[in-house]
Amino acid sequence: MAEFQRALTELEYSIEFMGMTIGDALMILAKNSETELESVFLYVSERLKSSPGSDMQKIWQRALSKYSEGLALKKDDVEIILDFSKNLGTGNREKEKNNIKVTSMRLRIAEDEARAELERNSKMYRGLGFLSGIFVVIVLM
Amino acid sequence: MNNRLAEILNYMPEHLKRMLSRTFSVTGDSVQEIRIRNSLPLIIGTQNGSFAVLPDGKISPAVGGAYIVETSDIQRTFRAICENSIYAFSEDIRQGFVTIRGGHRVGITGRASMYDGKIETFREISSISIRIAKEIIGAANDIVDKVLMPDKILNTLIVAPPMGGKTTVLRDLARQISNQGIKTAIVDERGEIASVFHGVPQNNVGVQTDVIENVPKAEGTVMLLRTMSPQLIITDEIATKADSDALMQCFGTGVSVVASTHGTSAEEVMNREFLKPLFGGMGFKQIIVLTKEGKGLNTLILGKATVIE
Repeated sequence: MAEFQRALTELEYSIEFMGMTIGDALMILAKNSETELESVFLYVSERLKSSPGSDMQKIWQRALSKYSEGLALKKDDVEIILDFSKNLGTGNREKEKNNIKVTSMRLRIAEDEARAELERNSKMYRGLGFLSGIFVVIVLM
Repeated sequence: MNNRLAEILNYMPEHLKRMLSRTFSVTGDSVQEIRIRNSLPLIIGTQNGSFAVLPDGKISPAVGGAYIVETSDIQRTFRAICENSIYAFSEDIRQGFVTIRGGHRVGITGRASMYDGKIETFREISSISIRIAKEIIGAANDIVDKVLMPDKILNTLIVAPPMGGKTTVLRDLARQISNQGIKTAIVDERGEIASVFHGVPQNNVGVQTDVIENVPKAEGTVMLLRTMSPQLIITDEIATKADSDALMQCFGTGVSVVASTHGTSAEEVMNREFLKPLFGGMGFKQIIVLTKEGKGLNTLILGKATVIE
């Protein structure tokens, strides 16, 4: 997901300063990316170029499910990316910038939550471990 | 169905694509335009007149039973012609049309959303009309001898009504003159003459032709004059005072100019206020009014020249 966040920043630059189309911008992102995201960006970019009349969100959906294995995305992440794709390319530069900003923020929050959850879980397991240790001791006594 | 039509269908949602590909397999090359109007019948314009498209792709001269365009159809098509990147086409949208791959022109109307006194985008789109560009090699056969003299190229204004073949003639004129070794430069404000895609003109505009695209005429002509040392500058649709001012900069620099404008007769054009300064002196030496003869693939474009004293 950190990789996707970085891509968003690049995308914002391509849209705002270069005025590139989504298809062109994603093609460049694909070239610069070294992860599985490359395949996703490439797929979307090619689909947008070959049949621009297709539904943008559906293209992303297909791309994400096609390459889901290598991506290790959580359900929340997928939802955020699909929401992002729904608004992508539909407005002026200001709106595009906003869409990227909101998506970026949502991804960060999701990440923080996931980390908090992980911490909570690890505390719980540590607690459980401790308790079961005591239990074992009690049983042995 | 030819490639050009197939290319256009890619800009449409799947069900319209299917419907129209059936239509085009019957009508073939005679299709000139597609009109998509919100909540109204889907219409195609052909050389034999307009027809409504039925849901099964058949065509009918009456609109009863025609496929009725849905709001989502029109929105999807609009997004697609903007390559799903509306922000990148705001300048074109402001002018009311976008040129898509292949040089086809797509007109857009609807309720505009204004910002700072300028059209920013269309919030609600009511109509989209797709005009199919045609490259006709030899379209300028009747005109080229009137423009290209043995020792010079006459400054010429080409006049015809909309769909009268102006762009087609300019394109072929560029090809024929350029292939005779004359350095030709095209200021293609909307990418309709040469239709450059990824740096390569999609239409044959000759071996000695340089194209500058998507640049306002004024800037485009000055850039070409300065950088490419052309012998001939070709540009289409002189429609505003700014366009006519751009041409004024070329006259007198030794470069010949061939341009086009909407109209039906030489007198009418000569009386148009913003065009007046372009006639006489160093300016246009002749006006050629185009007429079409015949139908379909046998269409001949003829030009009647009026010399300006």
